[in-house]
Amino acid sequence: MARILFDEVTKIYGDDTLAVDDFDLEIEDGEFLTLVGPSGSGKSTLLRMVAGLEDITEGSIHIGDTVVNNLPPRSRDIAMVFQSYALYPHLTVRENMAFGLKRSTDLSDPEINDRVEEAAAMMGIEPHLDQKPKHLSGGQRQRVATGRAIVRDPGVFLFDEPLSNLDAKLRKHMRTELQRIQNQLDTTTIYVTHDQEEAMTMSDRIAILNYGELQQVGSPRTVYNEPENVFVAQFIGSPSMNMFVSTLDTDANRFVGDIDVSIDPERASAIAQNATSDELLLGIRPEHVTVHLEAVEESVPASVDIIEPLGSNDLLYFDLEDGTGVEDVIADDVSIGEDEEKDEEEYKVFIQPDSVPIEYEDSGELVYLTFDTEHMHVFDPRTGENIDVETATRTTVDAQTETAGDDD
Amino acid sequence: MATQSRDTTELFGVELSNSTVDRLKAVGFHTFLWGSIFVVLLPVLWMVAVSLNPLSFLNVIEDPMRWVNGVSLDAYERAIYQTDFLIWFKNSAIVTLAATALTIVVCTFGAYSIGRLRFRGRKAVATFLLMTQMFPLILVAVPLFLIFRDLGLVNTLYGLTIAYIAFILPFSIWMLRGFYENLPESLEEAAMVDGSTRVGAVIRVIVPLSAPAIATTAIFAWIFAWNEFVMALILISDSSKTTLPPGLSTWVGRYSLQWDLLMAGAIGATLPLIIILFFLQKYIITGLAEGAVKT
Repeated sequence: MARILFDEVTKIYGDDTLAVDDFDLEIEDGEFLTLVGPSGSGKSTLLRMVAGLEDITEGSIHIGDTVVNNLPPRSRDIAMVFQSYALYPHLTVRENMAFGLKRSTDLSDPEINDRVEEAAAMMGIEPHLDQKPKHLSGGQRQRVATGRAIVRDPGVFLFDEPLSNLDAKLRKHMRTELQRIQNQLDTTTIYVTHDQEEAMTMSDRIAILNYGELQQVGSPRTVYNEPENVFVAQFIGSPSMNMFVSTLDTDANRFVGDIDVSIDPERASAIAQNATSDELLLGIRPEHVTVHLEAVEESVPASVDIIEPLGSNDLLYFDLEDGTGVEDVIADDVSIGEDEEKDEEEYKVFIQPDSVPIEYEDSGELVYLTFDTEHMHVFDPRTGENIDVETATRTTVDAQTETAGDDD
Repeated sequence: MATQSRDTTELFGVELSNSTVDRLKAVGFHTFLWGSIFVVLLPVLWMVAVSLNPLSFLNVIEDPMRWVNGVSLDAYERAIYQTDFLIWFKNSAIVTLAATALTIVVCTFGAYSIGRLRFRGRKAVATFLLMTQMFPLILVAVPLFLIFRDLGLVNTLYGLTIAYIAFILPFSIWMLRGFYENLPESLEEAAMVDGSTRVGAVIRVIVPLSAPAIATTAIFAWIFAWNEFVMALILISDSSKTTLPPGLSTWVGRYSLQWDLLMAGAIGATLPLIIILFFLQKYIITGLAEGAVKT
């Protein structure tokens, strides 16, 4: 087991592409940390730098108390599971799993065999030990790849999108299994994925990256409830957060624009103090919007675009009468994530099944929306930062309440 | 409106049943195929025929029995007991084996470094290797002779081996390089994380996986070294050091030509190639098709 420390790590590829920029992070002994971000965000590069498969341009990486910058992969006490599994096609499952033990330990053949069988039992692949990888299904190959990693009992596990080649059902199953194994072995783990759902469900902490920069690091709940910037807000959560453009009227303590909502005076003045722009981005998750069929106090009219049945609830896509595009107000150098760029004004809300008649779809019939301002985030479009101090305070209180609840 | 039923097809204006058309097509195809094979193999057949009885082609056509009655292994006996054939065969075998083995060792790592490692000038090296293939052998023969003479490598089998390796390597490296570029990089990375050095990863993972490509390269090297004439003629002057192709050429006299002896020698020289190609042909097909489709 080992602690991992990234100290001002930078990676620049030969053609001057900046892949990772001044990355600082400490991963505790036995922690399960997920690096998540869109394609090209530098997450795999970071993992490969820990593995020793990529040189570090600047800064240093420590595994335990050792700076590993110049150590070859074999001397780093790590095991890695690749996206393609990278099983040796000419060797049987048993030989694949024993490969690392033969190279990195001086165990005798019977001892190696015992270890392989123990790991195979843990992964449920004992019947396949004498088969070649080409005879196994995708799920079985994934298990062998994980088995090959755990059999070595390394200080650090590195997973590079290990579940991305599996179908949705198997992926969910393997997710639970990997978590179980990590809990059982308590080995420090870095897990790379672009799937935010995977990151949310598996990790002790999530580090969100974009264009090689660390956007935020925290527990799944923290990054979901307290996104530090508009990119994290958009990237974490599925479906993504709704973004409305409104102006703060400090005299009336109201936001006016895409949506009109009142907030308390203290919060309004704090936001006004932090803001560098008149127009602000209001971020509200789909579960914090309520749909009414009749107009109510403080409600905003909207037309129904599509209603998607999801099973336990439905997802309603709506359009606002005078929606301002986020792209129109946000600064060029602020990234809001691909989803938002593609579907600029795609607003969503969760509703109870059949609570809105299906005839409302694309008919011009209006519904009326109210917003839970308690869970509303306010972002500055010039910096992309969350400038709503209220959110931070509230979630700290939430966290304390949660901890108190746990103690009970 | 259709004027013919489903059971008949028109072939060259004649209405025939489908099964007859299929049979005619098969007969036509096989006639063409066997005809082509006959044309290709005719010189080989004639080589065997002449080695057993040196009658002229016209005589054989006029009276085949005359050829049958005169068949003897005399030419083979003369080739083995009265000439240096066995010495040349041995020299050819030594040079070919050594050139093939060393080529494989060098080109496995050479191709890997050009195909996989990222270093400045990688593309230039690869292009330069290809450029060396653009010069005809005879063009570099004289400068090579002068260099080898100064180094004392002339008239030695290891000198000839070195010359062959130098000529085989560029093309072999290009062949293997394409194969390596298509192997997933994560395999050797997994081996390195699993405790291997880079060289260890190449030997334990890359080499076993590239066996078909390496076999193809080996066959290519073998054929080149076994058949090579110009270099052997220029670099070797002693009959006890020469190889089969220039050796056999000494049997072509100015005033006389022993066709049966020459053909017997040619068969002896061809036999090892036929045997090797017979057993390794599947690797040639696999090796050449490698990388054609994404697997």
